[in-house]
Amino acid sequence: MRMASAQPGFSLIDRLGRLSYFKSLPPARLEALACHAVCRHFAPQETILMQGEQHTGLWVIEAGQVKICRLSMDGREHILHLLGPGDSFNDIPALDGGPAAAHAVALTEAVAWMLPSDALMAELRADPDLAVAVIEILTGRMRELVQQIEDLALCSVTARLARYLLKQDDSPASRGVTRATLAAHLATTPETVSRALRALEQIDAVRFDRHEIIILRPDLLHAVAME
Amino acid sequence: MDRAWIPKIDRRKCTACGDCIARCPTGALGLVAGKAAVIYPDSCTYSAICEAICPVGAIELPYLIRWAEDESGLHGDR
Repeated sequence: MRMASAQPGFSLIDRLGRLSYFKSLPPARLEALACHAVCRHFAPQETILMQGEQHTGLWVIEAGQVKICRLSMDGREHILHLLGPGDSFNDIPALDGGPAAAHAVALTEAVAWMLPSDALMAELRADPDLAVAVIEILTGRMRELVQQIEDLALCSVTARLARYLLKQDDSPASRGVTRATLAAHLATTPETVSRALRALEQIDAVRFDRHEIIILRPDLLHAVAME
Repeated sequence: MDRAWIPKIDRRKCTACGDCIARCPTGALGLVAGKAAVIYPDSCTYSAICEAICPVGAIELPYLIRWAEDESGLHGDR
């Protein structure tokens, strides 16, 4: 990890203002918040923060991809989120002061900003709209986690993969995903991911075009996702 | 060829066993400084054989997930 400066054309204030958290803040308050932010540069596979580590701060990704994952006792990795530019992580510890709930690891060269908890909390205490925005974000995350638990407990790998594909947009976090990454996200093996992808290809829901996985029939993916 | 879309080979993991080089259907792989490497990226067809065959999991193929576009250039029905 090394200290870094923002890339040309990048404005932290603009980026913060676009985060769901800070949409209600006027530019002057965003600027005050941005003054406390620290920029860091990470190499591919470098750990940004470790599960259980005391690290209170909200991270915002400027560039690159980051995976949020947990490791089982036997070393198996489960990826909770794949994040890209504009996404935030370590939200819960930033708010409750507790240890990091998961590992954060750079998948590519990455640049990220850390907003210290005390600066964040000072803004929260001063602005009820900001507090409501945070509650909305946290409840959204909770719904997402409940959905993940349901997926893992009740759905086949093919159905989980279909749900994952349906959630993809054209964000940078959707680019450069590998079978191993998909496997770690879906709590299975790369071989099973390959079989599930083939199954989706056979029903013409997706098509491979060299390095592209093209979603052809969302309706079919929805049907598989409901199985 | 966009260098982002070729097999990624972890040189620290690679044992130079040569399996991927022998099985690559287009001869895109070779040894560079004693480790497997994509020496002809334009030849790579993304067969994924190298990824599947590597005994130490040193090779990974990154994919781009995207939605098909209809004839009007808009995304399919989400």
